Amino acid sequence: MKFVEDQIHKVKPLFEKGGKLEKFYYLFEAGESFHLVTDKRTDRGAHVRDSVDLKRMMITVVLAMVPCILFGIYNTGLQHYTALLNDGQIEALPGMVDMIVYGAILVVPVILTVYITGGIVEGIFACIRKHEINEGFLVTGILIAMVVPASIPLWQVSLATIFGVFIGKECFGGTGMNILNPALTARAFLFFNFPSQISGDKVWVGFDRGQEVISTATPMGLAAKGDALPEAYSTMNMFLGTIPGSIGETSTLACIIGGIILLIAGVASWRTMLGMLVGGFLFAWLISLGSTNPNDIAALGAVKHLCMGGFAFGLVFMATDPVSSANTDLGKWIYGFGAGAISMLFRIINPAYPEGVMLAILLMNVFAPLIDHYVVKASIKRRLNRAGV
Amino acid sequence: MQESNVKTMTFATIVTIVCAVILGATATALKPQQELNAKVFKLKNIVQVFGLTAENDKEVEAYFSEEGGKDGKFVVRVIKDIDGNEVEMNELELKSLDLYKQEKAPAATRRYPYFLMFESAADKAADKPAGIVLPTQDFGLWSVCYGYLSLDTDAETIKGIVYYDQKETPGLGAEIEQEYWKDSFVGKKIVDANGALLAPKASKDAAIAKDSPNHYISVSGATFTMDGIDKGLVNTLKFYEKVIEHYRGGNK
Amino acid sequence: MSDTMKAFKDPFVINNPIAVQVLGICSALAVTTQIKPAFTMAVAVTAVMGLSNLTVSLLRKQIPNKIRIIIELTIISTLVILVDQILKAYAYDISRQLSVFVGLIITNCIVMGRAEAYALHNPPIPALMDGIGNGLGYGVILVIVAFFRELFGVGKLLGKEILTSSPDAWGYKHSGLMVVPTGAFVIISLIVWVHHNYTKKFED
Repeated sequence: MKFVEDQIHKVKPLFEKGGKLEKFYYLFEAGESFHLVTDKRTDRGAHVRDSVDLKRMMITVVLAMVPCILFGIYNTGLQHYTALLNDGQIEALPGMVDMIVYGAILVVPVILTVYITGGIVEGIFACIRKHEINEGFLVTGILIAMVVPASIPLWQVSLATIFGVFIGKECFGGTGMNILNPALTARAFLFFNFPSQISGDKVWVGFDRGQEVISTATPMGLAAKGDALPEAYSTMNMFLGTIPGSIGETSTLACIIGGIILLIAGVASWRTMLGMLVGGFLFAWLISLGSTNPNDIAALGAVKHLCMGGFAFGLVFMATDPVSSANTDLGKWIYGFGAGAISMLFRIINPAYPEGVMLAILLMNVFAPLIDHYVVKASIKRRLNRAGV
Repeated sequence: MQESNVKTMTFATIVTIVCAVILGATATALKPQQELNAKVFKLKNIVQVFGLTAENDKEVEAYFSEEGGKDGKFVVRVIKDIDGNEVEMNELELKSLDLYKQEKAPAATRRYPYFLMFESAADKAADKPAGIVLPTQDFGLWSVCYGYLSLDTDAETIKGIVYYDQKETPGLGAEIEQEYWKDSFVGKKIVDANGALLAPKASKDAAIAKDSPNHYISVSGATFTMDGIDKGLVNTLKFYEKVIEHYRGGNK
Repeated sequence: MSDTMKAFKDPFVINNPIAVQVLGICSALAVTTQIKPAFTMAVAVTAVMGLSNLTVSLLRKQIPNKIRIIIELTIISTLVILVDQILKAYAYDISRQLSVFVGLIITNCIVMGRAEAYALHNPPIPALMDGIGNGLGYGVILVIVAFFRELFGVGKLLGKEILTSSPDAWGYKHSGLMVVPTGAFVIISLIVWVHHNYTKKFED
């Protein structure tokens, strides 16, 4: 640790005012504040200080997503070669390295596209509003990349990123002011804009030898139609994530690892997560009681539903967004429970949109301020009563 | 300011009468034109699904007249009862005709209207239609879809399909108004190798939809609409089984 | 600027019924998928507003205060039903597309609002201009929204194909968002934003 500190202090003058690399000060600062407790001191008054600033928080989230990203890259390759195998275009599945290489070829451009377009929009607004470029976009950007299919046209990704950052965030006043989660706004934009490509029951898994886009039915798409799920879509595989879907959301396991990191770091709220888990489980279970057809989406049972689709990813990374979620303790429970419950209602009862997690979280985002308002009001009333006024 | 009740009442009465007279007069004056429009709108869809062309409303109507359309073709509406006997039906009843209500109605009052197209007066006399149009009604995701299915002269090959009234999801179910979807019906058979009736079915696989004798292309993501159309077409063929039997193989 | 000109221009530009007062949003979402029905709707609303304002203004000294709302409503309903009947007779296709929304002009807050707020207290000519100005202010927004929705939603302008949806999976695709009312919401809010920035200089 001493070594890191020494190195950072050694290069610091380069970045400070008048230094050679002054322009990159904010990059340097990002690195510094991630590694070290800030040595800035307030001028007057007493302040409670902590090393957890916005930058550090955001980088923790990105770190927590690393398992999802890595697994997403591997799974993209796996799904691609599985589809080729099923189609008879190849004899046997290649090794893991090949899969990762193919996955990276598809996934890395998507991530780059999101960061470049999003960065430009952020930059324009930073100039107009005269503030630093916000680190919040680090997280938003990777979230957008994780919730799109691997072989999505890049122009659609950049269009969605612009919409998400512009309409979802900047219109409301930038980081910290947004009502909706910008990454989900971008995803919702794609969902409604290109319905036959994004919300159809199939998902792209890459290109075949003839450079034609190939697509595979997702477990969700099959279940929504009332078809029996094939062997490959067992609960275990859905938990591990070796199923077709969007880049980073297939693996429930990777999401759980990320969730644990977030909880240990204290970045995300365990109340929101637990509330959503309980809400989703309860509703999936209740609805499954009333189902008679064994192939019906309702009859899959709560465990399968929690592993399927984007539920785990939404629970860990989307619902817990500190800006757009509820802020009071009780509010977080209500918000989480609502998101989980509505996800299952959308998914099972509504026939038009098989994946409801995104819409449920967006809906609860809108209600979050209202929930907080009433929680605070109830709390004031309770205290007044206790005080006997 | 307080007005007398008498003045208020008088004023209200005058305004009401004036408005009522204006509205009554316009409604009466415009009614024939409006009814004509509604009729022509329906007829236009029938003409189109037969593959005929019409420049304007007059040409549309001409097809249904005694003299026939501009290229000497006739379209005739036939109403048959459950036993296949031709019957009369007044305009009002016909307008409110709902296929599924007909199915539930007692056999004696069950009516099935359809349209025949004849190439010439001689064909018409010999009852040799060049095409048959059957109304169809399907329960989609959000709405009842109303349409027409047209069959070729052999009463086995599909000539075209049109849904003229539907409120399905734009971009998904509403794709049934698109040409590529309608085109995937053309040339499909409604009978199997043994000659039994076989309704068209949606297929996700483009290759199957292209080559199979009875599959049309399914709109991805619009499963409910497609299921509704599948079922609706099965019912339509069932309702009109006698008609189809009668004209099979070009009216033997 | 004369009163008449002001009555015409004010609602049209500065006090736009949709962009500022956010009235008549329901029909603005419903009839704006294509330019043609949006334009017809704009004309219909302008006609109804002009005539209803004119009639109410002519009768303003006679209308008993106690029943003025119901009288205004009767006049507006009569005009709306007239428009509906005429559209059904002479523009059947468009009237089918507008469906129930022509009839719903009756409930459009702009019409009733202008009759109550302006026509009841002003002479006929300014009242007529106020009605037409408001109708046009509403119509202009409708046509702008419809322009974007028709262009990006189905790739057409006035029914002529401009942009083609590519069958290629990676190619250009029409925007599904523009076809659904949500798209109209997004466009209207962007118009409100631009309009607000433009009119800021008239305020404070």
